[in-house]
Formats: sequence, C-alpha cells, structure tokens
Amino acid sequence: MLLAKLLLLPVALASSVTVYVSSVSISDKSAIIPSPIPLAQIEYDADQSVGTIASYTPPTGSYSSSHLLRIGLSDPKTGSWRGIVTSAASFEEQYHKKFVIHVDDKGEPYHVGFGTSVKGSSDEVEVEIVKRSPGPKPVLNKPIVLNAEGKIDSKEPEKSFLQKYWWAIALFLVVQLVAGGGDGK
Amino acid sequence: MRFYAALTLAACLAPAAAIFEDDAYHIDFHYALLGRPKHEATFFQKPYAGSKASLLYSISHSQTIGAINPKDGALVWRQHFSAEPHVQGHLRSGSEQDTVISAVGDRIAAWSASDGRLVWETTTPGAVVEDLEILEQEDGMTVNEAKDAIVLLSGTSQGVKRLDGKTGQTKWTFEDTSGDAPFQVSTSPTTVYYLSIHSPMLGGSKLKVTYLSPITGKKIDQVTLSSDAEITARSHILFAGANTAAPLLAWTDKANKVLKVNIIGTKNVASFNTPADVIVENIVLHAPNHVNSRSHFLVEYQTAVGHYAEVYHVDLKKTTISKSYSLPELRSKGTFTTSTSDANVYFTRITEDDVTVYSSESYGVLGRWSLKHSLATAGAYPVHGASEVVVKSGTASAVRSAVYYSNGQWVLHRNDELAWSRPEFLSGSVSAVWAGLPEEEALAQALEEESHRNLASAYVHRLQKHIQDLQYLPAWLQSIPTRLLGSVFGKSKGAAIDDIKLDTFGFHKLVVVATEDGRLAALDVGSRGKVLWNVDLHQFAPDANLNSPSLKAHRGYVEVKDPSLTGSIYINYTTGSRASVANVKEQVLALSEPQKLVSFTLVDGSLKGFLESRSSSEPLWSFSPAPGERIVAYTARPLQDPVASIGKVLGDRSVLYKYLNPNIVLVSAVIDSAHTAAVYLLDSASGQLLHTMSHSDVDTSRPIPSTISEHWFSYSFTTAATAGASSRGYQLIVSDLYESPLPDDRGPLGATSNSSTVQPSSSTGDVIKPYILSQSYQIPAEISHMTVTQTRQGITNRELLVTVPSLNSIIGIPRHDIDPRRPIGRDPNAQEKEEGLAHYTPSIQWDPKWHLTHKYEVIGVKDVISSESGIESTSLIFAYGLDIFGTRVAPSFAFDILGKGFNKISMLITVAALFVGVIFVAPLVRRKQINSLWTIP
Repeated sequence: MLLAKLLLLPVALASSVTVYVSSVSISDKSAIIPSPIPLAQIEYDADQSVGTIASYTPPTGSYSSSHLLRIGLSDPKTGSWRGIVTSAASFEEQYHKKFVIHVDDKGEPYHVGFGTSVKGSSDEVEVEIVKRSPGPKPVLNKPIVLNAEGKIDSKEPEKSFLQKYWWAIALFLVVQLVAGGGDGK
Repeated sequence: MRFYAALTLAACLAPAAAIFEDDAYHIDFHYALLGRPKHEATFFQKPYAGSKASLLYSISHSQTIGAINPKDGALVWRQHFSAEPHVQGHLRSGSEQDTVISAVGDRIAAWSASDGRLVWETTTPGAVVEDLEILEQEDGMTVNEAKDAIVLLSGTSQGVKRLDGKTGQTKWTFEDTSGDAPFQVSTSPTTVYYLSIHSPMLGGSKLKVTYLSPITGKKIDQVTLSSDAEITARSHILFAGANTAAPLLAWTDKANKVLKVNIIGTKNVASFNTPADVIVENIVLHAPNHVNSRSHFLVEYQTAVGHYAEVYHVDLKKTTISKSYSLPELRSKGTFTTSTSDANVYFTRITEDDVTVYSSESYGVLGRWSLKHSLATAGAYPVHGASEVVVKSGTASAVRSAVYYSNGQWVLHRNDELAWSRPEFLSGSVSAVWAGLPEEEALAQALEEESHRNLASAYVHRLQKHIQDLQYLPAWLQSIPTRLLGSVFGKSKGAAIDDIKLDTFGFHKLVVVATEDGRLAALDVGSRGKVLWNVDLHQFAPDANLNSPSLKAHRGYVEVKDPSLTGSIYINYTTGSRASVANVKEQVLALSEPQKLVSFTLVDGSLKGFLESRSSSEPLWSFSPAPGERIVAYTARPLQDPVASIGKVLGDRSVLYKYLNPNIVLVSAVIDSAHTAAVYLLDSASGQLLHTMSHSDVDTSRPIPSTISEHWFSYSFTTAATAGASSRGYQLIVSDLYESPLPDDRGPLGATSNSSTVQPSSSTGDVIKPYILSQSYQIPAEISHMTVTQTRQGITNRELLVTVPSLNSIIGIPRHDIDPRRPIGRDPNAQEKEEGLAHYTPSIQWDPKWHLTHKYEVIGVKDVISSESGIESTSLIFAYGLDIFGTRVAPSFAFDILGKGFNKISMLITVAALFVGVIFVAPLVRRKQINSLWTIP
C-alpha cells in the first residue's frame, strides 16, 4: 500500500496557480493598482488540502477599509478574470491571511477565496485547497435478497426431529430401562 | 414530562395541515384558461350527433384545445400541448361527429368531443402539419361513419395524407418533391385540392393548385394561377376556403386596392376593386364552413376608423362570382361572424354597441340587439368571433356570439346581454408582483413623511392627519351595527368576497401581472382573483415590442422593464394609469454614506457583481463554475425574509445557531456531456464561494429548480437513466446552514451582531464558512419550480411550495418533513422525538393533503410567488403562467384567526346564560357568606 503511494507520488504533479490583485476604482481618480499584478504564486497538489506559497508580494499603499481590492485568477486561454472582492484593510499586518483555491474534480482551479483571522504564532500565509464535495444521495434501504425458490434465505437449516428432541427420547429410554428392571421380580 | 408528550403529539399532528373542505373554493381561485383563441379554429359544435346543446371548441395561440360550455363559460375539458410557441395549431371537426381532430406540430390527435379523452393519436416525425381538413363527403355522398382527415405536411416529408377517422392510420400519402411552399388543403365532394406557392428563380410567385383523388390520393390535374406577382408570402392570401361547395381562394395586392377571387377547381380569377375613396387597412373574408350551405361569402373591409362589408354570391353552374349587396360603413370597429342553418347562411355583425343579423340572400336586417354596457368589454372592440343564430319565419329570434375582444377578454353575447367573459389575456403571464392596497400604501407614505421631520412638526402632521380622519368617523360608526350583525350571523358570501375595504386580516392584496402580449392587469387575490383593471402597455410605448416584460413593485407603482424598451414604464397600480414622474423620482433607494449596493447578473456565462452606484463595466467580483460547466440558474434569498429566531432549539435545550447571511446566492451549473451537475453557494457581496455540492448521473436537459429561505436551501433534479445508478427518478435535496456544528456555539464570529464578508475579521477560524447539513430524498415526480411560503414575522413554520407539472398541481411540503436532521438508519432518540424528528425515509410520498390545488388542474405554471398576509399564520400564494391560481396557506394552522366553524351565536348565548346565572346565584352566595359569619363555630 505504502509502496503504491510512493510510486504514485511523482504522478500527482504539483500544479501552480497565480493569484492576481487589482483595485476597484472608487472615484474618477486613477486606481492605485490599475491593471492586475501577481499577488501570490501558489503551488498545490489537488489531493492535498493545503498548498504552499511560492511567492507572495502584498500590495503596498494605504490599507484603508473603504478601498476595495479584487483578488482573482486569470484564465490563461480566454484571459477572462474570475475572483472576489475584499477590502484593502485585509492586507494589514495584524491579520493572518489565508488563500482558498477551489479546484474541480480534475484539479483545475476555478475560483479563489481570501480570508483573514486573528494572527497566531506563525507568520505564514496559509493556503487551503478546497475540492468540491459530493452532494448527498438518498440513503436507500438494503434490498431483500431472495433465493432461487423465491424465499428469504434463512441463516441456519432447520434441525431435524431427532436433533431437536433427542433428549426427550433419551429420557423416555432411560425411564423405560429403569422401569423395565422391576419386571424380573 | 406531560408537557413534552403534548409537544410531541402536536409535532406529529403538524404534517396533517391541509385544506379544509369548507375552505376549498372559498379561499382559493383558479382561472382555467385557454389563451387567445384562433379565429378559424373556434366554432360551436354539438358534441355528438343528436345532442341538444352545443359546446364551444377552440384552439388557442398557446396550443391549448378546449371545450367551453356556452351557457356559463365554464371549461368542459382541455388539452394542453407544451410545444414550441411558434408552431401553428389546428382544430377541425366534421359535422355530426363525436370527435374533434387537432394537429399541433407533428402530433395529430382525435379527442372525444364531449369529454376530451384521446381517441387516437398519430405523429409525423420530422414533418410539421401545415393544414388539416375533414373530408365531409366522398363521391358526393355524406359519410356517416367517422370522417377522415386530410393533413398537409411540410418539412422533411412534404405532402398530403389521408388519415382514417376511426384509427388515425394513413390511408394514402401524396408526396410533393417540387420544393414549393405548401400552403393549404381544401376539399370538395369530389376532389382534394392542395395549394402551394411556387417561387421560381425569376419573377414572382405563383399559386399552384394540385387536384388529388380523395380515394387514391393520385394526382389528377394541376393548375397554376397567374397571381401577377402579387403573392410573395402566405400573408398576402386572404382566404382559402374549406369545405364549402365551392372552395374559394382570395388574395389581394399590397395596397388592398384589388380583391381577386378564384373558385378552386377553375382557372378563372374574378377581380373586384375595393372602394376607392378610403384606405383599406385590412380585408377579411368570411365564408360558411358547411358543405351543404349556399356558396355566399362576405368581404369585410377594415379601415382606420371603421369597417364595412360586401356580400358576394357564387354561381356554381356558371362559375361566376357576383356582388349581391353591401353593408354600410360604420365609424366603429367591429367584426363579422358566419353561421349556417340548413342551407341558409347568416352573417352577424358585432360592433362595440350592437349585434345585427343579416341573411346572405338580401340586405334586410333579420334581428338587431343593442348590447348592454359591461365592464369586461369597456373600451375594447370585437376582434373576431363565432355565432349561432336561431331564425324563425324570417326573423332572427336569438343569437349568441363568442367574441374575442381587443382587451383580451373572450365573452359571449346572448342577444343583448353579456353571458360570461373569460380573461384569456392572462394566459400568457410572464411576470407578476405583489402590491399593497391603496389605503395601506397611503398610510405608510404619510408615516414615512413624518420620519423625515423634527419632533414638533411631525406631531403637528400626525394631529392634522387624525383631524382629517375624523370625517370618516360618522360613516365608520354607522357601519358598526351592520358589521357586527354580519360578523355574528354570518353574511352572504358575495359580500364577504367583494368587500375590499373591510380587510381586517390583510388577505386582500393586489397582484400585478404582465403578459407576453404586453398587457398589464391587476388582480385582487382576496376577492378570488377579480380583475381590477387591464391595460395595454403599448399605449405607453407605441414602438416597443413588449413580449417579455418584467415587473418590479415599488410603493404605489410598478416598474415595467422590457428588452425592447429603453428605460422603464411606471404604472400606478391602483388605477392602471401612468404614474406621474415626480412621484417616481421621490423614492430612490436611500443608503447611508458608507453603504454600497452590489448588484449581480449573469454575463456571458459567468455571474458578475457590480457596484450599483456607478455604471462602470468593471465587475467587482466574478464567478465562473468549473471548466466546461454551464450555469443554468441562480436563486437569491428573498429580499423580505423575516427570521423569528436566530437559533434552533434542540431537544436537550441547547441551541444550534442558524447561518443567516442575507446575500447568499445559489448557482446551479451542469456539464451536458458528462451528466453532472453542481450547485455553488456564493456570497453576493464579496463573491466568495461558501459551499459546493456536485452530483453525477443528472439529466441535464431537465430543470434544476432551487430556492433559498432563512437558513436553508433546497433544489431538485432528475436522475439520468444511465446504467449503474443506484437510484433513478427525481431527487430533492435540502440543506441547513448553521454557524457551527456544535450546539450552543456561535462559531468564529461569536455573538457579534454585524459582520462583513468584505472587511477583514480578527476572529479565530474561518469566518465566512457555514456548517452545512444536507439530506436527499427520492420524490415521485419532477418539480419544475419551487418557492417558500412567507409570513409576516417568520414565526410560522415554512412550507416548500413545489410545482409538479405531471400532476398539474402545486404541493406544499411542510419544512418539518424534510428536515436534514432526521436520523438515518436508527429510530430517533427521546430528545429527537421531542423535536419532532422522524426516522429518515429515503423516499417522500406526497401526501394528498399537501396538494394546495386539490381538485383544480393548474396547467403551465411558470412561477409561484408568495407574500405575507396581515396575520402571522397565513401566507398568500399566487401562481401564474398559462393558468392563474391563488390561495392562502397556514403551515402551522390558522392559530390567530377563528375558523368558519366557530359558532359566535352559541358563544354569545353561553355568555348571556352565565351572566343570568351569576345574577341569580349572587344573592344566595351572599346570604350564605353572611350566615357563615354569624354561626358560632
């Protein structure tokens, strides 16, 4: 088992994805980050639940809470952008940051998430890989299996008459033997 | 403990909530509609030979065949084809037959004329039925048995077929490979005529008439009529008469200057000049449809302001057509109908004001009735109709006409009175919204005005309002005795229904409905769906083509949007007139300064969120499903979704806290080739993905309806019939969202009352992710649409309302029965029993008591909307589409209103008797008390 896993390990190649960031222009003023720039390079294995950050360059500037930043992936084929919006304040030093990469069944990323929480001991940026969970299925009852005769198979074959009542016959014989002994008198 | 037992008992009783017998047909209403009837396929006919009364048959533009009782307008039977909307439907019936034959798309079917049961059905794969006729006579003899049908097919197998009237089997087929556009078939006693439009490469089109033998289907002859390049499309042909002794073919030029008529079977084309002094907008030819009737016909000329007509006679021996007489022009719109009696032909002229019957022989008026004014036809003119005339000794003694009016009402005029009206315009409803009653809205507006003022002026305003209200006091005081008496002794049913002003319980709510024809109507749901007003939206936007309007309700007016419309139309929903601009501008959504509105929409297959305040095309967030997936639908949590409790109390008195995010959106996406489906739960403020669930073996061609309410969502899909699937059929999935899997734990957010998915959070753990509990059930039939009941404060249990097209019904599944916390594979323990959770069963059978539609057959439901009523226990339901259905439900029983069974008289008698008893007993008790004080112990 372990050997098989070891053999498969090189096959499950680590994929890599780049997360971009750009800012939402609030007013007519030019945006602080007008065009998407790489935010983080993430390497992951779709079978693992955590990924690793290869490079991470947090956006610079004022981390005001009203300034919105878009974090997303760029489709290499179509160039279309997909992602979420978060406040620039999320990148402040006091928060622990976590990237979420949503991957489909083939391991391809299709959406990104970003969250913050209170800073713990580690300074690292966390990466979580989320696969799609299978939906619930009706929990069906067990089917009843019939034998060739159309009956439910019973666990044990029924005991024969002798097997069931041997003790009664034995008792009867003993009684007969004991009672029969007195005849010789 | 006894209390718990009682609670358990109550929980067990809850699923028994059903419609009570005395409520059915009182609290609910149903318009069983057909749709806009087709002129040439609407007729009076006896359902079987020898029947005394006739029924009114029609096929509508929405492919619904129906039989209407002409007495009261009630639907006798109907059959609905959910075919493509642009397909032409045909309906014919031979005289003295007990079947009617329909053709819709490639389906030809015969229905029993009296009860609508299927007699036979046949399909012509790959072909579309262009025309359908009944072969009335064969070799000059009337057929006494089931009459055969002649169908004209276009498409891959173009040609003419004769179908056996008894079985529907093909007797013969004539195949046409010329590539001409098939147009119509027409029959005469000896020949079947097949008309087609021949379009050569050069020059104009020609009309080709092919003669076929009715016995063998062989081509006898072919005639090409020189139509002088006038006919380029079938719309230029006015009429191709069927089944008359002399079938006619009439066409006109583009300017409607010359009318050309050909008796089919001859080569002669008679031409008549239309009156030169007026501009004729439209010409309609009316001819009898009966085989033995005289070959007279009427030509109706419609002008911009009025209409007039000319009657022509056909001389069969000489094969000539001559004008007999003309009817004077009327400066009002109207229509003509044709009816026959033996060989006589009568024309009935129906205008906005009167009905006149003429004989085809001469211009003498046989009968005239002035129509009484009626609300249903007010402001509308007759479009087309069908009539039955009784003529005794030269005068018309009675006439009844089923007339379709321009406002979409289908009415029957019996002599001078309106016998019934059917609001057929409602059949194509595409959007509907709830709207409050005018008085309530006025009060709410007045109160809102106060909130913007300072204390003193608000007080003065309130005082002024109260003084103003004093003028209604005398009338109100006067109404008290009648109201009291009515309440105690029970008032007549009509008064109870129509009294819109007396709306103590808030059951009277308006629904504004927009139809695909661009009509807007308001219905009072509390008065069994009474149509309050009905307007044509085209009068507000003359050049727009309003065929998919969508509505949005605001206070006092509705906003109509349409793809063909730039901007919106605002309609005052109490009157149906255009709302004044000043009124509209006043009520822009007010947001405080740091708030921003994010709106989202589907753009190019991905869901995108935009900042509402700016018109920039730059999306805030964007969500595309996994590669290869296509978004089929998305549902958001309703804007008004009150939640009574933030937690769910478990059996051991601990609490599971609900995940209540107002911005959640459920997106369903499918991969057609792999038969998979996935649902994504998104946060629409930030675009973050909260949860995904994927399903394999899904029939992706079927709908995946879904809904969200409170802290739960549900969806349904059809399992693909692939080998290896553990179960087949239809599945219903219900998921609960909680803040934490642990009871009494509020998750990372703790007790914070406010949180954001955009702003950073400094709490421990993943803030935005809910804990999700899901369960799946096998259900007996496919669901096309689902929604949830709404109540005023959300205290009442919710019911999942599902539309089941195969049963033609709407079912209310108690939320309790599909709780995802039902224990699987074991019996519920004592605590779960206390919560009322039952053992999980993989399949849910629809309890007959859940059917909200009970005996009604509600067809073609597009959408179901629910709204709160004035009382907490009750939710108002309105379904629209082809049919209109409305009801009210009380998922936790009507706990705040007295039922009809409550006997107020006996209560009053009991109170009175007790009072009398107290008066008698009081002196006795007093004496006894005094005596007891005086006795020495």
